[in-house]
Amino acid sequence: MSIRDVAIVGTSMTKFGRSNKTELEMFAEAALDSIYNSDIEPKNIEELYLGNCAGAINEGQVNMCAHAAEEIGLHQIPSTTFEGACASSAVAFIHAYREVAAGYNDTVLVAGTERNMTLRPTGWATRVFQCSADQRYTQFTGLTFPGIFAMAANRYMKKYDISKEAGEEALACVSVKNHHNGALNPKAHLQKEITIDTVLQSPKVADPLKLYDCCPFSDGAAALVLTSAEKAKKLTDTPIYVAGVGQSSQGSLCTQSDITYPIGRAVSSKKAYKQAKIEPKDIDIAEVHDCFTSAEIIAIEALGLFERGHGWKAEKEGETAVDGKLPINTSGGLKAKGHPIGATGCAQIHEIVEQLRGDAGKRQVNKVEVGLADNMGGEFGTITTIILRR
Amino acid sequence: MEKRNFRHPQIFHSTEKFWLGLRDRKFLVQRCKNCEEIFFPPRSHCPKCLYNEMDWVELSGKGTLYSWSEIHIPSRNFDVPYVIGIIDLEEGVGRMVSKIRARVEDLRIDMPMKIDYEDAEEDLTLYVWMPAQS
Ligand SMILES: [Zn+2]
Repeated sequence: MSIRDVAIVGTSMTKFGRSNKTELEMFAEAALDSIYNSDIEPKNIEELYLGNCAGAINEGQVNMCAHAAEEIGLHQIPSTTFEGACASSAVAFIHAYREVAAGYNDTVLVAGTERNMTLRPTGWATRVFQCSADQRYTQFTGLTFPGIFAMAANRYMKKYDISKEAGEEALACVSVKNHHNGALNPKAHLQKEITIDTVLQSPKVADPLKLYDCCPFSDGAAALVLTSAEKAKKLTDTPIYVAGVGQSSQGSLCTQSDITYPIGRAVSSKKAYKQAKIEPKDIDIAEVHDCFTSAEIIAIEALGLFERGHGWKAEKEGETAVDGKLPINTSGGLKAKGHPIGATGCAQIHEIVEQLRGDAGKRQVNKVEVGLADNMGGEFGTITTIILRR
Repeated sequence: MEKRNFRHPQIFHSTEKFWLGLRDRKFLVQRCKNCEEIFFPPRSHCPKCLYNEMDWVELSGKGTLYSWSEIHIPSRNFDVPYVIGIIDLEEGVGRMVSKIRARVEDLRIDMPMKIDYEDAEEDLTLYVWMPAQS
């Protein structure tokens, strides 16, 4: 199959955190900003791909895609909602990319929106998140998402013979680093520096994870305009190209093998590396799915960015810092930038685009040519890998 | 509509025998009538050959603790703290996510575990796993 090159020409995200807007209104804010900063007219958008996870449960809004298109004046265009739990808008992005690459469309809008912070108490939000775990055999046990990543952390420490104390300190280093980056990101939900003690002394959530090992529930939206490389060159001096994409799925936690090395993530990233004709060592920066601190360590190993069993040391030794060997989550990650679940995939891509364009301000990394966004939904259920280049 | 209790499983046709077995203190899983694969969790089609008729066989109820965590921030309707874990079944036919009954200081990854049963309601029995030595 011959496919053509596709580029991102417009990108935007709302300030993550607490919003007084609905999911549709947050979507409209990010969408119109991304369209205007791509120098095209809204009428040039041919199709809308919208990521949203729990709008039906949280706001009572089913079929959000149709309302979203109308909200920004895109009357009668095809519009579809993509749901892949926390990976919803990365899945939407991959489908949008494929249709432009295949020539079905020239210029499309991809977005994600979610209201997780301002709706209900923590118990409700925890329950909504839990809905993406296997309904037949895991949900009723009281398994929570922090619980899954706590079990992964405990298994990891056992597997690599790391003491509880050393392990918890490495996890805390992930949080300290991502908070540092978030403090440099004006769009981040949590813009404050913390210390290792802040993490270690915070309340227990699911042992060994504490409150500061967990991302916040956030409100927010993000949007991107994709077009053919040919059109992109006429619109901007800094088109950012989609070099490769991968996606995979896995069933119930009961059917998975090593939860410290999700095979689905290795499968997805290998597809993306192959298409991009690169290897993990060619990646200059990555945004990875750090819903919990242990999730970041698991992600950077399964993506092949760090050797198996060494991710925790890399975090401790600063290799993943903005000025480190391979900066991870320069945006602050889900941990500090925030995690409005359906918006997260697009927001990760937004950060990679800003870095590749040199627009990342105080958190700008030197000499960035290739960046990777890793998004994960459910209990390792949906995993996406998106590689971008200048 | 009946108010759903999130601490209880929803029971469907393909899984009903499993839950009925627990009421009789039996840990029943499916065996494919075509390829004889034994597997957990119960489902409508064999994961190996995709055949859709199964026998039910009883497992030993023994396993090992793959990992565990003590939960302090719960999902709705759960009282904290409680312990959840992943059990690798002794027969090598799958893995269970389960509530764990133990003092956390007694838990070690890979330790031998055994199944036990808890009557939740008149017609519903749930499983729980605990250290084999207790
Ligand atoms: Zn079979």
